[in-house]
Amino acid sequence: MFNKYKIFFFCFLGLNVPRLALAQEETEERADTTKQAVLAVSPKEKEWNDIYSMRSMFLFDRGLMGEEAGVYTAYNGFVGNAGLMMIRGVTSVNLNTSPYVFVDGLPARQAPNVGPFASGVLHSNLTFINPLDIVSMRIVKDGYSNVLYGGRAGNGIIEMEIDKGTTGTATIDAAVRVGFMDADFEPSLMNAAEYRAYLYQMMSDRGYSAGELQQNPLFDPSQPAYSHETYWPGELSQKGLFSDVYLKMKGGDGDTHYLFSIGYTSESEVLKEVKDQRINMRFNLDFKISPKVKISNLFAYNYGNNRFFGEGSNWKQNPLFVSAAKAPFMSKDYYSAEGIKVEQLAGVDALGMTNPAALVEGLNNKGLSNKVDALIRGDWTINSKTSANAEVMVSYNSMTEKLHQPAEGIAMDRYIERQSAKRSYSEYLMRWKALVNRHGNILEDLTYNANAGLSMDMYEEKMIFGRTVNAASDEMESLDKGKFVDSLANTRYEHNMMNVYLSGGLNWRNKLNLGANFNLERSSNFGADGAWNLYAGAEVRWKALQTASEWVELFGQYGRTGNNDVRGGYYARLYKPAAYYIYGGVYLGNVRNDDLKPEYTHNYDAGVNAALFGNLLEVGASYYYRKTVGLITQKSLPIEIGLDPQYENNGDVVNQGVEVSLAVNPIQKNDLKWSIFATISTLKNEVKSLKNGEIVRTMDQFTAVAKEGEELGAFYGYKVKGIYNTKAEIDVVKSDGSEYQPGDYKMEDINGDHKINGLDRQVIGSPIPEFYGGFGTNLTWKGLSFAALFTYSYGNDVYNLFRQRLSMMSDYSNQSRDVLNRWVSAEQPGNGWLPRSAYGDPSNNFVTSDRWVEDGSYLRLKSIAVQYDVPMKNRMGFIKGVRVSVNCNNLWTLSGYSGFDPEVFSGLDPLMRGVDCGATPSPRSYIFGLNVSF
Amino acid sequence: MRIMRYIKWKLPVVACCVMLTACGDFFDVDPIDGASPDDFYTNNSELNSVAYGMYAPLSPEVHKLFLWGSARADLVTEGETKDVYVSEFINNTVSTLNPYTDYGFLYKSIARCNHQLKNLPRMQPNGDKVTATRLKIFYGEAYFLRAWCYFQLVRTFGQVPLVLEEVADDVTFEDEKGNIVKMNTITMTDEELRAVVLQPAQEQEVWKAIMSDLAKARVLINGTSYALGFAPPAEEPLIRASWIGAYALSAEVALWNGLYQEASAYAEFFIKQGKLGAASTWPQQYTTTAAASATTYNSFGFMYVFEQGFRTQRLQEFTSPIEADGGRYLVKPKMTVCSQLFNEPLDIRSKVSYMRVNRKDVIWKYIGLDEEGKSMRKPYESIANWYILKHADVYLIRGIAENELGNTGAALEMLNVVRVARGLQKYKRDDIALDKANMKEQLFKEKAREDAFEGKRWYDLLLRETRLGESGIIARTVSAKYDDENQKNEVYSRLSNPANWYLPIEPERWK
Repeated sequence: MFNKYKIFFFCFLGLNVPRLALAQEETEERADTTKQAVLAVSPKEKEWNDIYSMRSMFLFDRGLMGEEAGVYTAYNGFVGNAGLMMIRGVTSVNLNTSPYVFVDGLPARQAPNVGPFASGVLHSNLTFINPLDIVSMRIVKDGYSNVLYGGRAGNGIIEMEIDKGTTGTATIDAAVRVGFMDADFEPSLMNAAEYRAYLYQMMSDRGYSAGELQQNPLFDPSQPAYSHETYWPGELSQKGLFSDVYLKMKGGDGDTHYLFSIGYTSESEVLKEVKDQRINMRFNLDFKISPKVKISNLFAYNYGNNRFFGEGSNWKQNPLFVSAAKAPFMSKDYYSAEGIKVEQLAGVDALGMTNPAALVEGLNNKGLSNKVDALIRGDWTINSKTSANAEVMVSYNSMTEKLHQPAEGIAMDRYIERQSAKRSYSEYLMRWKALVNRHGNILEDLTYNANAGLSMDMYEEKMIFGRTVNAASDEMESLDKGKFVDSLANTRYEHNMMNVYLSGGLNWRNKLNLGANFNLERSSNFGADGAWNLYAGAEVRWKALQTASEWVELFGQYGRTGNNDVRGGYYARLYKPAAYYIYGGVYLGNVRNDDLKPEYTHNYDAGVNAALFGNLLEVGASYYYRKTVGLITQKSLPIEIGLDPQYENNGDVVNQGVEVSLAVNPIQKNDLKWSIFATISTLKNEVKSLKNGEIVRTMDQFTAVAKEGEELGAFYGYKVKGIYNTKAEIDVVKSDGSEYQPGDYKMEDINGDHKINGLDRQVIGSPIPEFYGGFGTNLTWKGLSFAALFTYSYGNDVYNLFRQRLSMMSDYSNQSRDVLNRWVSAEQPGNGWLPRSAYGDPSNNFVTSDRWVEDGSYLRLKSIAVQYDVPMKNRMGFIKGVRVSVNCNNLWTLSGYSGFDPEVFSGLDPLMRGVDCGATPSPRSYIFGLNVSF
Repeated sequence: MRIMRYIKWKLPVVACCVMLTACGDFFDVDPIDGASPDDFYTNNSELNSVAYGMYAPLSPEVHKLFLWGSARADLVTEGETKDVYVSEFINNTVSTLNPYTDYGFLYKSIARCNHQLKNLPRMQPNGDKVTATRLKIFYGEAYFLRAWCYFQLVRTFGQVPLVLEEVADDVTFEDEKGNIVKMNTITMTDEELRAVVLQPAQEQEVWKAIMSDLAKARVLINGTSYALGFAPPAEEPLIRASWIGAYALSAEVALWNGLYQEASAYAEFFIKQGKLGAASTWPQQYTTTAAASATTYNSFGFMYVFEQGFRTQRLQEFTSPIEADGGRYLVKPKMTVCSQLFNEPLDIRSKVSYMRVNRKDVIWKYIGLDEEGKSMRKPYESIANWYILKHADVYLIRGIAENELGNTGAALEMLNVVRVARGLQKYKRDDIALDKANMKEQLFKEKAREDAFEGKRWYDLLLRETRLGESGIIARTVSAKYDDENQKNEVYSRLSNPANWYLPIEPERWK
């Protein structure tokens, strides 16, 4: 849709701008490719440019939403962490739901296929992509194109092309960017006096007598240790820093092209001590060994290290929660009995709570990653009509994470006084692929294009995890020093796959295009009846109007894609481990299921693309309907059979919506160019059938469901209809038959059985937006350019778990100021928001309920970028171009959400989306850049 | 030119075909997180692994055995924290909503026993791989454990489905037309499975199956020592089926079936092999988890280990009053009843069974580490052993059987053996009335002291009520634990109805 516009941007804003001649040459090359792309495939190829790379300077995927319809993302401020990437809905309950990213043909998963190492910690696998290396990107959303990705394409595909050497004199581009980030994450908490009064009541409710409480030094503000007024979350925030250095050298002659690039990126989070650093290196060498044969080589190495905290629902290790819950009358420093401040951090306090400063200082959680990619490819132009290529690629990605929690200042968690954990994870892929292409004319006006190919993939994933606890001293960090093993795990998953491709198209007078794609896939993930899978699709495109400057194209497509990411060996009868006392036993865990197949998605697309009024208006509108059938879910047999639940294909989900893209280019002069663009995408998701019943998942106080007739991952809980003021009002009992008390929440009894239990749960919200997208503008005047992008999401809910946790009043933690207006008695009913306080929450007032569901709609100024190419009238010898730039992200957000940030990410599980565990919000960032070309 | 064309086009096609046909192994990936059953049954160690798997579902669930067998009876009452589902057991108002009625763990174990029995014929005695004796013991072990599971089920639930074949992979049955049909189990609906394999069996049928299994176990687990016919680790005589265990269980089952001669004979056989252990070390089976003391007093039970995978039970959670230890204090001893039962000051068992600690009455067997109420298990380390077949019970079972046969003297002898072994004075003939009824009372009192809080008391009452002709004893005994007259009467009338002696269950609910 926006190809011209992209070319335009490439030309005027691209990194190579100062070298005008070269830029033009490249532009022409790309224009040709682009034209072909428009004719042959529907998904638009996104030309990468500096504006784009600056928007996503942290990780390329953080800038995906807004410009491209159908792509929804959600990230928090956790540096280096993965986020939510959703292309046209969510299609699975139990399998991977993230798109694969193909970088120069090499597939990569968005994140390791292992659970979070610490809660909320899921380091992105995509840090190996330096945004400055990217030349173009294509988000493949339609089923027809995705047929060629077969069983990996159930969630869409992102293809990207990385820069390569070109013919011309050697050039060097150097870029330096520095900046800072800040964010507000300051929950509203009770101050020391308010908290002391609250604590007094909680303790007297638990049976402490007035005398005992008077003796308790906690209630004596003159005690040196308890005389402070600390706003604990403030102790943890800092200005984040970003720095990035990049160097690229490329060149070549007629036969040989080369490129070498190296980049170093460092980010520190707005939360103290959290940081992510990366080094990306690429080397590529292409050469012709004969006029018809070209050999390409690529070698890339990426290194990363990071330090992190669990910013998820493990509240004992979430620094922000620990700090919010800490008594405000205490200090991070230790005070002697005489009231003298000692230069050491305070220990665990009299209430058994962690010193947040000790947690941040003491937790030693680190990650390290190494990735190596290599590729050799041969292109053979057999004759003017026929060409062939073959490639072999190898990729190895290794990640090591460690966690160490000392005892000093950190409260014991059940039996865990200290703990050390370590995880090693690796992915190995070897892929071999060959393709033959033939094109030509059948008749004078009828051309054809045909491809046949074969690929083989050998993939292996390994993970080993160990945690030991209670080493003798805080200094002993290695696993072998633990007193005993808390948990050990290792997994290995192998997946061998073969694909046979056939694709072809007919083109009549450049007006009518017919295409068909076939992909026969064999996967080792399935048994005899599910191993062979045919993915197929067809499309028709018709240029209804085509003049020199205007065109209108109608298209319709169908394609079947799949999700083959099934682990667990269900094709085999398997013994599973069953421990008995100190011995390892086995039992029949899997019965053989030869029928298990990938989850298939039938994709239907239809729409129109047009450029009208002499390029003034570009518009694209389409409707998609995706039905995923055979969802892999667990079937439970009667308990007397004595068998674990077994997986089978049983369930359907539908995603459908409309996508509209619009660009207006009011000024298209040589010196002045201005365009405005907007996208909107709707999404309607519905689970159509789940024959094995609803699937419910719980994380802390949050519950979500996959249920027939509802959106996948809908929030599942109770509706609060008020607070009981008197005993007389209470006409229901708790699930276990015991009685509610005045001051408890009045939950809706939807089945009218006067008992509040699981049967009264209902859908109370959904993380899936009704519509979303972005809009923005680009303006250039001579060497100066300005770009702005707004993103928005409407109709998605957020479950504010962090707020719920700070309102529970079920222990001695400090709470949000909301509790000052809680229900106390019939005479003092508060503002009706919070129920009575009760240690241990005996009435389950704080189960999943609609009280904590908030509208997560937002409008955000995602990015503003200004760039200026310094005029170089008398070129200073070896310096060929200089550009300065400023880019600001997330400067402004409009939202009614009460938490830190309506954009929340809580994990890749489709049933755990839209939960706010109080991770740091996406920060405002201010980045200054300088590019110099030599 | 032709050759070139051939090379250009046909070679790749041929190559593809070769690859397609040659990659059979390529797609044959062995999952690492499981082992193929086809590769099993080749040596002793593999058979052993399957055998351990049979017990695995049982040991984490002993809190249910506690609720079924102890909470319902007279020695246990509500603790300071109320859990409605636990209270339902204490007050004998158990509903089908109660998750502790889920008997799935027993059927898991039964399924694994059936699996072992189906697959053992694949293995023939083979020199150093597995001896003929050892192979027989593996058969016997599966029969023993299956019998124990059904013994537990039939006494607790009455009519239950009787599954004696492996049905995980497929089910063979006769259809309406009389044809033999074989169907893949996972493709069948619940209704189909309930119709063809899970019809509740008559109680008598279940008892018959139990006795048949035990008859095989007694013959197959034949050994001169505690059991396994080879040098086992010290704890194996407790945590696995044994020869004497088979006889102990046989004696109890025979008693339940009114076969008093057999019961006495099996018990006698046991008594010849076993020993009763000294009074002085009796508490150690509770205050330590050592295999030596456990096997001195018991022939079957479960042991736990915290520091290797947290293989624990939940009894500390149910009985401990200390929150930091993971205690919820849901149940406690009914002191008035306990003090009447443990009425001899010298009885070492009263000190270990329950205790008053920090102004709270607690069941001490699952939290205590001494006999003084000072030292407790560490937080969350709920690893006290759980005993199922106890040596002393076998003596008392023999006493009960002999008493029923009219041999009161023999019964007194058995009773006295146990008393002496616990450091108490022998009853002399003059001390107690030597009539059958009183002897029965004394034998069961001794059994209650020996087995307090170990999931047996309810079944003893049920045995007396339904088999030993003591009509009304359940209602009388259990209602006595209530101080409030109204409650007492309510419970009395509830337990006068035989329908309330068995737990209700809706298996579909616990899928």
